[in-house]
Amino acid sequence: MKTFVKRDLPFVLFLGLAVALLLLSSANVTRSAQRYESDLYKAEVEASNIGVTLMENGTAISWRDNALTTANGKEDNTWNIGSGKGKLLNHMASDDQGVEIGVAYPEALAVKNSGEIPEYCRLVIRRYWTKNGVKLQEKNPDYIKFEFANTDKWVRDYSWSDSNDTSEHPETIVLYYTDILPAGATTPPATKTLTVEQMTAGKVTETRTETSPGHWLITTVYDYDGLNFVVEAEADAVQTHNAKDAMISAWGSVPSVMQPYVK
Amino acid sequence: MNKSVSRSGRLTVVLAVLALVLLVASSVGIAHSYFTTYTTADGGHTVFAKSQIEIHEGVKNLSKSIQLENTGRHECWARVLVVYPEGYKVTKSSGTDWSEAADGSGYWYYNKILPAGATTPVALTVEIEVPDTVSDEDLQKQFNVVVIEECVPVLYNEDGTPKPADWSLKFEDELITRRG
Repeated sequence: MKTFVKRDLPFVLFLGLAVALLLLSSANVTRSAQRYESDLYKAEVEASNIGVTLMENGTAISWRDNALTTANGKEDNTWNIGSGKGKLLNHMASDDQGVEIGVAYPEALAVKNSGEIPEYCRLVIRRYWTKNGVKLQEKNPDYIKFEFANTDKWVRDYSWSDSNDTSEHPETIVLYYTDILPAGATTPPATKTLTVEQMTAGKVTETRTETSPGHWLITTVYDYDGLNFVVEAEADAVQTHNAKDAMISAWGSVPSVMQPYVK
Repeated sequence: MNKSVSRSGRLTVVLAVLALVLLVASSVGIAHSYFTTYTTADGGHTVFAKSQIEIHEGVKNLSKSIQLENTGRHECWARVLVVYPEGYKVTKSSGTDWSEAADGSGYWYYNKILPAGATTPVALTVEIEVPDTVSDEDLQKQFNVVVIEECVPVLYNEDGTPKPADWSLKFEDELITRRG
């Protein structure tokens, strides 16, 4: 007994203290729940549904919501993933009528908060050329031209491009909405129009082949004739509670353009 | 005596290590989950940038009837140039759908946009006048009256109104000379 008190008791006490510290540190609950209190009464409201919808010209194109479902009498958080039409740019052309080069087609992309908690959101737009399903890296994305809107509310993150030159339009355009988007609300449009630039009709490659002395075969190829232009749009949203940590978790970092706006 | 010391010592070491592990574990941060979500959509279309037309000719005596068909996928502006031997005269009549270039270049312009798949409804008629110096015998020999057709795609302003034809238009041109 003497030996135990003298030699082992300190370590046992030490061990007990470590166990107690471990138990206390794991007592934190997930910080995603929001608590509301008033002086008159206490009520705990847990809103955990987050949802985002991509809008084109006022129409919902695709969305992703977390809808609570009930199983065996218990609520169970599962994703209810739905998509509407799912396709962009259908209004630009039909089988009978192709896309007219140079015309500014209305293309208002916006984001709607289709969840139950406020959120920060962003739009990621990619544009490129393909032929037979194969992406053509050498073709110029600038010929798929967006006109932007509400630039006081949608800020562009130029760190996605190689240069901060605002005249350059790389393949990927990232826009952040600076305000908190309340549940059920829709942002003002980030874009206004989409135009296939005139340059696609003027970019030619002329080949001259001398078939015999003094006789030449001249072949003119329109470089963009028969190519497909593709636009991809992605709407992302994160919770506003601990927004910076949520952005780091979802997007890898807090974008520098959002630093002045995120609380 | 040694056995009991050894066992006690081992217990001490085990307890010390366990305490250290628990202390370190307690300082590891708890993994948080955040509410995030995303959705995507895409779309696209084919661009038809090339214009091409075909000539349809009807020849009767010394008269040629010329019509142009847009065989491309894009609307275009069209014009023709009639080339004939020196000394011959060619007069053209067309109504109001065709007009002659004012610069004396000899081009005749179709005044309307030619839609894809459409043919000029009104033909450009070319009358060939053989000079008096040509004998009947020479007249039996062949001579050429060449019709050259050209077209450019219709380009549009942002508001959807068509731009006038620009026959000098060429944004970029890479000339590749190859000896085959």
